[in-house]
Amino acid sequence: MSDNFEDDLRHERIKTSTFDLALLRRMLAYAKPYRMRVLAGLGLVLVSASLAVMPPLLVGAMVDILFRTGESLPGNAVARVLGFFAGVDPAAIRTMSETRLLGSFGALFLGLRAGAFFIDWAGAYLLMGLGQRVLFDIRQQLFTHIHSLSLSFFHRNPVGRLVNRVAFDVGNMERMFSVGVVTLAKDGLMLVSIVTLLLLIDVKLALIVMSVLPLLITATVVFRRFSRTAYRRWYAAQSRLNAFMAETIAGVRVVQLFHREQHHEQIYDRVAAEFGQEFLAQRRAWAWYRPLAMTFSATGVGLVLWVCGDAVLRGSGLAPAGLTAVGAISVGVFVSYLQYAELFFQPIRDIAEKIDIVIGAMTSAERIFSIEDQKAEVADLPGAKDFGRLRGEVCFDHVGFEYKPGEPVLRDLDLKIEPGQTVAFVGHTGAGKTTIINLVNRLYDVTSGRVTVDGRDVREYQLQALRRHIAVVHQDVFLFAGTILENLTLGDESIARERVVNACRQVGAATFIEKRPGGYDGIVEGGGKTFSAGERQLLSFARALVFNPAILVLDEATSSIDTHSEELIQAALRTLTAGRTSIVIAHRLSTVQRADRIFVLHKGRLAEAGTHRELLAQRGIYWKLYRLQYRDAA
Amino acid sequence: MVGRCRPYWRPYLMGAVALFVVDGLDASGPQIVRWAIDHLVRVTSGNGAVAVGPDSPLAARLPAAWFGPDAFMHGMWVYGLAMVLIVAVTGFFRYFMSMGFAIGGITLSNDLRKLLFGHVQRLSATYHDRTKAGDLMNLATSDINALREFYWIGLWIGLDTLCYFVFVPAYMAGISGKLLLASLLTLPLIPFIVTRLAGRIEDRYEKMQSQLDTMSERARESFSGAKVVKSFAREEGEVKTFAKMGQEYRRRAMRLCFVEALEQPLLVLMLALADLVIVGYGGVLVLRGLEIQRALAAQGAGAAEIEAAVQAAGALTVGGFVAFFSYLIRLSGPMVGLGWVVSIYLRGRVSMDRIEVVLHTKPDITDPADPVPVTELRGEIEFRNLTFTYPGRKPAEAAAGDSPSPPLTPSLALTGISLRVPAGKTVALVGAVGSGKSTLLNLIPRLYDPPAGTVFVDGHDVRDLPLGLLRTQVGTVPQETFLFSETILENIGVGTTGTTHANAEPITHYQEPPPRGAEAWLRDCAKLAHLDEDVNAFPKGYATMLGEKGVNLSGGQRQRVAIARAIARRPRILLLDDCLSAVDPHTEARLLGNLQEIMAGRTTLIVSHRLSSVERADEIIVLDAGRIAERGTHAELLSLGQRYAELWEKQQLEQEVEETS
Repeated sequence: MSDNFEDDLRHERIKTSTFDLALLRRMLAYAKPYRMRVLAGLGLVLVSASLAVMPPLLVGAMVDILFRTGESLPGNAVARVLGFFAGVDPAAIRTMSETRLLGSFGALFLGLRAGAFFIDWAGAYLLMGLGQRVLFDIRQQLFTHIHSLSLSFFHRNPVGRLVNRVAFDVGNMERMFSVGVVTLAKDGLMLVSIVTLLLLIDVKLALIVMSVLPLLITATVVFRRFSRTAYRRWYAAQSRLNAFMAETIAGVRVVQLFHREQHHEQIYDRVAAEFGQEFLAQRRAWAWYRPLAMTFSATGVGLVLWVCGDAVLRGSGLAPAGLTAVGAISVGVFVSYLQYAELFFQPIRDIAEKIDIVIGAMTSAERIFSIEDQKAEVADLPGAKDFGRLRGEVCFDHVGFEYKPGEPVLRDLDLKIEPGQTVAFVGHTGAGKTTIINLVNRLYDVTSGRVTVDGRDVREYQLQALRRHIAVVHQDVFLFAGTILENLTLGDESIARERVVNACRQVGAATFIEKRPGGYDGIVEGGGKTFSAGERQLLSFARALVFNPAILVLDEATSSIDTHSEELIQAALRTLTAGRTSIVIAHRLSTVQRADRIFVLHKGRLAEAGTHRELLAQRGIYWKLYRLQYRDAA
Repeated sequence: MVGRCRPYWRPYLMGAVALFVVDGLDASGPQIVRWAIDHLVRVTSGNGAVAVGPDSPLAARLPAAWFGPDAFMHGMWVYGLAMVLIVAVTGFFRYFMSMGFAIGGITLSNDLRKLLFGHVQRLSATYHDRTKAGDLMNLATSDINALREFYWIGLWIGLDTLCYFVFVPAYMAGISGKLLLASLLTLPLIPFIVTRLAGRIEDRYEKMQSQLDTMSERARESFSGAKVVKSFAREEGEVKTFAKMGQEYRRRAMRLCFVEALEQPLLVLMLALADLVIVGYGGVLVLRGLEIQRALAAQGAGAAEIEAAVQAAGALTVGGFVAFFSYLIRLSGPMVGLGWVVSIYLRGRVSMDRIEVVLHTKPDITDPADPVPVTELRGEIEFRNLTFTYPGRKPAEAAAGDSPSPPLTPSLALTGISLRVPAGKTVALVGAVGSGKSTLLNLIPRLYDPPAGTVFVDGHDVRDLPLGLLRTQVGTVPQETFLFSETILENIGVGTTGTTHANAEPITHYQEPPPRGAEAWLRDCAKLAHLDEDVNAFPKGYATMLGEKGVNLSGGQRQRVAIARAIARRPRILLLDDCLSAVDPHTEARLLGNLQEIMAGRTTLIVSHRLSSVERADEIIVLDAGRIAERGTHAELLSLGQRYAELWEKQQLEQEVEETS
């Protein structure tokens, strides 16, 4: 939530800046594959808008024709339509019997409404459907793109933010297609139709009546500015309130232990009061705008009553009097004008409301595009190949590496690991051990030197081809929500169940998996919290074994595990490392002792190398580390 | 539910009065239109012969000369002005109407949320183990929002609808009772259909939303596990799975679109029925009225006479006819509103029920009814034959600060523990995970309630001690550190008034930093906890914000903040629950040296996995499956030659491995 809020603040400048055409064009590009659908939808909206402005015209015509209050453009137009349907001369319509006329008008009204019903429905469904298709495309594209980005990207961006982009922002952008375009197009077209009709009937009268439009639009623009700021502040206050409450609930034990309940209530009062004030500020903008806009709108109606009423009377032969030199009109036209004046307000208010959707969509689109514009830092180089199964020889050739420029993590690291060897990396925290993992399977690229596998620079391999043969067991075992089987195959359906079961038997994970309800198809809950640390470790071993890698990279868990599990894990480790190159970031004495070779890293350099005994005999850094870690610190 | 409004009657009353005026005035608008049209028709009809004189009630009350043939614009400005005035005055009241209900709604919902929030804070750890933090947050956000909607828009629109159904039909009846009846026949369909459609929309919306939740969850997992996905080159598989979910989402969304696209057009179609009645039946009535009018006008009848004749015949004027359309549109709004209000009410009702369930949950750990009158503790702790069972819980969300998760089903955690810790002594607890060490600590400050007569401090059952006193004099460093999104200094000073006084009281001023002397004390505590160097390395030092928007500390740093926080309140009893696990051995050694100083003169219970940290304790308790397996000093336990000695030997062995090689 607060992530969102901060983003909002950062985007504030962009938000308040004007409509970005380039951005809009890029957004609309998503609709390109659905060109025909868009055209059909817009066509329907056009028809629907013109039907929506018909009723006032019809009422006016009815008054003129049926109640014989005069002759007018609407009346004549409708007479022509009726004449067409009845197959008689339009002039004859006026002499038709009243009953037939009533029937005709009834039919016209009904036809109009029924037509509008189907066209509106079809148009809206068509365009909303378009939105859904576009939504799917955008979301899929974004998701794929995010996964194509390098690990460093995931470190820079908290998961919550990425999820927000995929779920919330994409949805927002979709609304621009479904709601935004539909209503904006319809309201805009309605406004244009009304203005056109008014002008067609009588230019001068139309101008007089429309003179309220600038007022109405100004009020709307001003209001929008106010309300947007007010709304954003309210939203921010809400985020603060929610974040505060979430934190208190999450830390409720500490609150109770430190007896802070009352104190937190005081903070609540302050944050909630702010929230309430911002809410009212935002409502106040509305409370001002609506009466004002309605009064302006009513002024339009008032003008019709006054000027058009006068025009009607003048047409009836009364002495010309008055300010304007408008022509005479019929009562029917007067009625039509009245209703149009009342209709003016609706599309303007609609546009004012819906424009926020488009602007909101633009903000979201910007966020999405800013991700899509990022290039993977680690990507296949041109000419990268798949060299098939690896032998497993790994070589660090004068490797230097830094996550942040100027802060080297590894310096001139030069070492060789023979195929089938098990090597251990040890070193103090921050010595650069974990970085080794990230370089072997090319989650990061070296800053200088090169890492070779089977004598070839890792950058000559296709990423997927390289990583497929290197299994990494991370210290923090990540379990996805899903079945145990899915977690072990990572959703790769080409992996046979037997292979998984076999792997689990080999590492000794089968026993506890089979005991669980559902066995291999049992669901992993809450990120695997229902497994013990030892069990999680075994699961991650099984996962690595399932993929039968040529090279195994293992970051040992530091967490304390009981003796029984410890033995299980050591046994599993022997199975796992047998017959493949194994690189272990070692935290356990037993693992270190078993290694063919131990590399001691110190401040990013290779300080010592050799077997456990050799290194202890040296009485160097390894010896010191050993004492520090395994001897009583006090 | 409406009863809750009573304390907030002022804003609501303002809103209601304004609303009454607004609706009354608003309903009179079409009346002006009616009179104006009738005026025009009257004057312009009659075969070109001009019928003289005003006929509308408005004109009748004004000087006839204003409307004469030579008058300024034939007096039509009167109608225009009347129209604008009515709307302007309505607008004035509209403001108070909007604000009245908004103030009522927000105040009420804020207070309700506070009630909920305060209550939730006081519910015991047992309750929070059972309840997901996310569920509580939903209560405080979505449910409270639903109630705000009800107490704001719900009451407003509800009352508005009611008023409209009184005012508008009254005016319509004044024009033509028959036509009113005929046209009203078609309206009741609207709320019926709108409500049904809304139900369907909501249903399909929820289905779509739940799929979105599934997708978000999937995306979260997928991104969180990006390292694994990349390491095993499983990107394609992730994309495929996500696409499948996306297709399901699209299917559900399309189903929603189908009904949602129907909503507006359907409403318009239903209005068409009423239109048809007005056009058909109303048309006939107008024709009849016009006939009467023409006949009487030809006889030279006066305006009043004609009016009366039309009325008597139950006929309609053209103005009345047009006004009917306006009224109908005005009624359609409240019709839709009715369905809306019902659904807002129902949603609010459900939310209120959910909130009341929580409010009616009694906090099970409270101040005793008759607390022992003590103001200070010495710090003697005693467990007398303590047996403790965790009540069962539902799988709870693992919230931060969720120290050792109690089991899923009711389970025995401690059996027959008897132990006395004299004031000022240090007792260490060792044992495997799940042996009951943390549970034992949690019972002392009553985070969980022990059975009566089992846990005593200074000889008083902890259940009889004032809860505030007990908790302020016990300093706990929990296994998992929870820090607040405040500055480092504020986090350290969480449990103090900021004075160096031993009997610290809870702080009451959030914004104000503790007084200067107090800050020095907090810094001292930080030094003792070996935090000072780390903090000074931050550009903002002790004013550094922690948490989401601020710096994130390392695990070891967090634990040291927690230690500083606990000692800052100068507790009589210090509970250290494996609080150095994330601190490197080097720092641990120095920190333990410092803690000796602090622990001196304080009763300390310390849990640790590293035997080195407990060697010097006055007594070491070895727990196994909730029972005391061994007890004694380090030397005693070694000579006992059992578990503790075994564990110790193992460490020794490891050292020897080194020496022999």
